[in-house]
Amino acid sequence: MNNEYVFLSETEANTNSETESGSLETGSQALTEEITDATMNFRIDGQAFVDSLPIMGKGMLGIFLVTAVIVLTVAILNKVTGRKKKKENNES
Amino acid sequence: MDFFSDLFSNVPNLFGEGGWKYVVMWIIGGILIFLAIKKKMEPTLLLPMGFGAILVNIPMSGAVEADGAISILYNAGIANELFPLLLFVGIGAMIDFGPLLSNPKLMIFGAAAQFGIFFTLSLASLFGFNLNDAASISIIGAADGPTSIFVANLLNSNYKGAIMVAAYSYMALVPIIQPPVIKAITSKKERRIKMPYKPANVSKLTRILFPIFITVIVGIVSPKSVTLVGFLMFGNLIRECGVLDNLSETAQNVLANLITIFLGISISLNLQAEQFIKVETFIILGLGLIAFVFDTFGGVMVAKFINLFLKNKINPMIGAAGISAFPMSARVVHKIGLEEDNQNFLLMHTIGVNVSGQIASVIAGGLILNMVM
Repeated sequence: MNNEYVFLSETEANTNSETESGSLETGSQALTEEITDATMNFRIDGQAFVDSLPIMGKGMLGIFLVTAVIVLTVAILNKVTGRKKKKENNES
Repeated sequence: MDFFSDLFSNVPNLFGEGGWKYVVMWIIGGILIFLAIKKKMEPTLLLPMGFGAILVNIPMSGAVEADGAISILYNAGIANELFPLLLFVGIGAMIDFGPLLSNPKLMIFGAAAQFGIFFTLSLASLFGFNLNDAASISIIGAADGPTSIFVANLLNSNYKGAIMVAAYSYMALVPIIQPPVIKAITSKKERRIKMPYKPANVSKLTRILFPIFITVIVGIVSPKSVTLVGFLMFGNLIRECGVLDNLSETAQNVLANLITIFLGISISLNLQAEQFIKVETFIILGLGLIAFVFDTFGGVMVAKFINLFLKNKINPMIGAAGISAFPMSARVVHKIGLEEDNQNFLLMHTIGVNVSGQIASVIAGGLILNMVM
């Protein structure tokens, strides 16, 4: 993209200026000014979207896996404690 | 003359550069207060946030100075995530996991209804937010205030104010957001599916062991969320143990109310005009809405998918109750069911799914922290 507007936090811009070279400091300063001056800055970043897809996949898979473990655990708990209760009822 | 110029020396700040932003924040604060009082939308949070928004946006406000009251409260309880965690103790004490424990398969829908979180993370990345901010924004979809605050703080998001306003506002708007989405993706025939409720007996031992097991399982998977899930389950254990009725009562009422007061007003430190009035705030509010919509979509679609393999169909609407807005989401779905068939009582199923969503949202928050940090 030729005309890109960038979302960057002021923290990021300041960090850049603290830790990197002089030319980057100047660039970061200009970027900070652009951010504070502009009323609408955003970037459509297709690469970032693609990079985030594995997070989406792993996240959903992770939730379902953990849920499956919990469901199994509860089923076993119910069975074990249910069996114990049945035994106590029979004895009484 | 000197006396009057000293007395009103702060007034020119309202008319100076950026002064209009203060007035806008007063209006936003007023809107939050109006929604809390007149529309009864999450008044416990929206009212303190609304008033706090006004408090912190008075020019030269002493409340936000380094030793100001709101700054002190913020550092004491928000910056270190303490307030949301203490609130979770109260929430845990309020939740009855019985309907879920009698039918644990319902947890699948709680998991599915977190889809909006991860979808929104990708969408926020598409719009140029860095990963930490995208993850913090996406957690609005957890529909859980403490989780949203906890994750946004830990990830040091630059948009905490917008995220918190979005999270609590949309939680209150669940009765408006969910029904159109549910009706758009289900047929009348599906919405009329009856689900008889046959409660299985859940032993007291299971109720006691459940919070302990959940803490261990989720903690092992996501160590960063141990405090989040641990405090929620601690509250639940206090409720279920049967020997701490006084503590349970205190956690559910006094503790929860006290922390809510402090949390609501101290969050407003993030509602200062310079931080809040940005284009990004509106984009975040939009993304938050998308998160809620796709949470609902995810829960319902998984239920419809499971129905393909079942002889006795489940009502797919119950998937929508997996959103963590407890108990509002459960009641919304139950109400839609009654509208379609006034003999269709879905409440016990939706409550089970709804409480599972509370656990799933914490798991989602933990997984996000694992993957992003």
